[in-house]
Amino acid sequence: MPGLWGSEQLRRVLTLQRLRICFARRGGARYLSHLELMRLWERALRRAGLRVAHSHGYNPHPKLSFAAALPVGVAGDAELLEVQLESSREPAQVAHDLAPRLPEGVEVMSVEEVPPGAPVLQRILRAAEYVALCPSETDGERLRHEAERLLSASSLPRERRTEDRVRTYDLRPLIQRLEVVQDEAGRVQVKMQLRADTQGAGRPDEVLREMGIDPADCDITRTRLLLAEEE
Amino acid sequence: MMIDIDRLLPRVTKPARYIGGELNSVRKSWEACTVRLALAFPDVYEVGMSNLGLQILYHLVNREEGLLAERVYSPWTDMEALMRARRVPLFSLESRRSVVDFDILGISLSMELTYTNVLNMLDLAGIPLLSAERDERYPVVLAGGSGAYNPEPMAPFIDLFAVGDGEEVLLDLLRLYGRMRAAGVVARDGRVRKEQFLREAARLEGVYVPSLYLVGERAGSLVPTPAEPGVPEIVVARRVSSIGPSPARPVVPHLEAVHDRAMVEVQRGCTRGCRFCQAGIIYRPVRERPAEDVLENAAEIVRNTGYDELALVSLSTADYSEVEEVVKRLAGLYPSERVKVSLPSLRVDSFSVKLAGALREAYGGGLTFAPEAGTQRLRDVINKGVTEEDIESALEAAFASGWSAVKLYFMIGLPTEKEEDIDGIARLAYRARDIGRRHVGNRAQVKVSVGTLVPKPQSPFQWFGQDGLDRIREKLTRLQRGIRGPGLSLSWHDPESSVLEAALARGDRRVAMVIRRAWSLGCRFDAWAEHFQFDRWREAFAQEGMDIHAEAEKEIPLDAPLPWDHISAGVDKRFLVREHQRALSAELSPDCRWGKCLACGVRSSYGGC
Repeated sequence: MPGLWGSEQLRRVLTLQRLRICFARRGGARYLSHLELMRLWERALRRAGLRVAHSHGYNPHPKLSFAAALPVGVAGDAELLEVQLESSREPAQVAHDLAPRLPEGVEVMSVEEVPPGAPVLQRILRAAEYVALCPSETDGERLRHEAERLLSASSLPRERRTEDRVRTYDLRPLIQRLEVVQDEAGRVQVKMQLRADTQGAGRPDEVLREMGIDPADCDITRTRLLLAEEE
Repeated sequence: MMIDIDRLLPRVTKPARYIGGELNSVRKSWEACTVRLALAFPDVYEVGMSNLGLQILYHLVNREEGLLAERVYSPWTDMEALMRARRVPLFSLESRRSVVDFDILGISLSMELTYTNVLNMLDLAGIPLLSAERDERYPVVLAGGSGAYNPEPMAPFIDLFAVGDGEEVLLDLLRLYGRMRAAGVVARDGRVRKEQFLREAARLEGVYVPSLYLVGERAGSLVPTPAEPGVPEIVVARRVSSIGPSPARPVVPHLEAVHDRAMVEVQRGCTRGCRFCQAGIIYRPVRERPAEDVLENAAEIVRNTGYDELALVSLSTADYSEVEEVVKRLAGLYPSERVKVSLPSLRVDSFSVKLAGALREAYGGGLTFAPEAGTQRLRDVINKGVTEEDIESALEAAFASGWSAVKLYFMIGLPTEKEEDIDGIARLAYRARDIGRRHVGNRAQVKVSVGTLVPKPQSPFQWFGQDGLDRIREKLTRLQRGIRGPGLSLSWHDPESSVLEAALARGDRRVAMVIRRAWSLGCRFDAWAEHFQFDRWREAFAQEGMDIHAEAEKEIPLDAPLPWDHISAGVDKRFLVREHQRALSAELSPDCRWGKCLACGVRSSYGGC
């Protein structure tokens, strides 16, 4: 058998089944960090009896990848996660097996098989849609003006603080759509579509701050992830 | 009423600490239950969720019809500040109700450095700190855990203590409450009359009700004696005769817990007889679980949680008689599912290394051994029961089996300790490195970790004073000079926090007022280096007319009454005295599991061992 990547190992990698799981996280579960959510899924998959493939090397980790990390505090209606399984399972059965083994607020929406060789989620993700429900006393008219201001600006320089340094970036090219509407109950909603690809991703809390709203006062949901046409 | 914390959570670190709804958490109907228990752990979520005892009690109560248990942890300081600013009371994770709505608040007391957190939780719940100031508008405040073996430093704050194994006594107490409520022994708002309840509860085995005792000064200590007939002079800890299965569906924490793994208890109790060890006394006798039960229990826990690590829990798992069998079968069971099996404590011998060898994946970081002392004489003083040959053979085996790192744990401040004992620690470290180099060359790593002895109540060392802070520091400096060079590292536990631990551990009711003062001076999360404020503690002791150092260092005469003499672990005090004296003459006592009976008293207290 030749070399490290002998045909046996190669065959195994090529025959791994790829499943795309669409899930929602709402209620308290929106306060899980990306890391916590990852561990949650690792365990949920193990509980459902799925044999997730692992990377090789000193510290093997499960082959689990999310389309995009969801910020702490943001709910998700249709998040996407891809797993690679060592042995094939019927997608509908996987959905069925996962459903009762998830913590409160996390729900499987659908499971489908991804053909081998298809690009990974992060590479085909293009944008994300968000809805921010503002506090009841919010002045919708002011926010509509703010939205117009943001959209007509040629650049919106902002600072982002990471743990040890401050980074300056332009928020404007990350905003693809932005509108302020009122729901049936009369509450103001900010709807936005933000760029999310390998070059850059917009954060809904940053847009809200730029509009003069404290994101901690809003209920934010990522309603949809937009993928490129899949080949 | 569900408490709204939605506007708080976006503003705190790690908000998942407060959301509940974890897999396997239990949410019962509030209305359908007649007795409601809030189970509190006085530290943050990640610490509290690692506690197997609390998981056992949580599921035990919730399995019972009509009884409900919900969890409460200490909010971290950022959350506390927001809760106080917005007048949000302490709440339970399951139904997010105010703690004050529960009938009973049960608090786990395991470590002295969490005592200010207990007061802080009461305060955040809007519950008066002193038991004497609470009527039926407030829940009954119950405490259990190893802290109940010297309850006095917390006695004024707690209505009743459950001493010993909690499984039976907790259910007894909840059922008693339910019966009294059904019988109409209630105050205006439907809560059971506190005084009557406490008086009834005091009749249960293992229950201590501080308010039913008078405290008098005897030989410099405040010592409780029964205030009325029918109140036991000595409260003997409750024991379950056999260890039940560990929870098959433990709550799986949202955050990475300190011990984030499936836990299956293989035995309770330890009779090795290390003389500094409180756990070795208060969990007697040894009760083992059959291997088949352990294996079955382990499999269901792994299946129901999805953990990738399983720990075989006990005080000394290598002593479990079926450990080889269990380890062998578990090791064969899980490689394909990538579940690591670990033993939380290894013995210092080649047998333990062999066990670890069968479980390689879990020990990637290296093996930890605890010789505790640097010379044979001092190891005999503490009755460690480990010889130089044991240590060498463990090290040989570890390095020969391919491990390149070992961690050695020692204690300083042990009774009769001399400079040569301190140097002995350094000598062992070098010896370990030499052995390592012989097998793995310069990759050999020896990490020495040092803690300070805290004399604990109910242990044979309970009469010894702790070393003074200056002496501890001198010894640490000596070690720092002695242990240096490639492949060697030294770390130590903050000696000031050990001083506080010692000053609290053997305290009487006067120490309770110190704890309250320290809390009002802003002390909390004392076990956390970033919050520990030794100066404030020193001040709190001073304000109560005491000296923190004198309290930690006090030697107690063997014949003096002790503030915890009214609490018994079922162990004869004369046995503790004998072990204390044998320590001073460096005489070994055998492990009664294999050797002869040492007449510790457990056999007569519990009708067998």
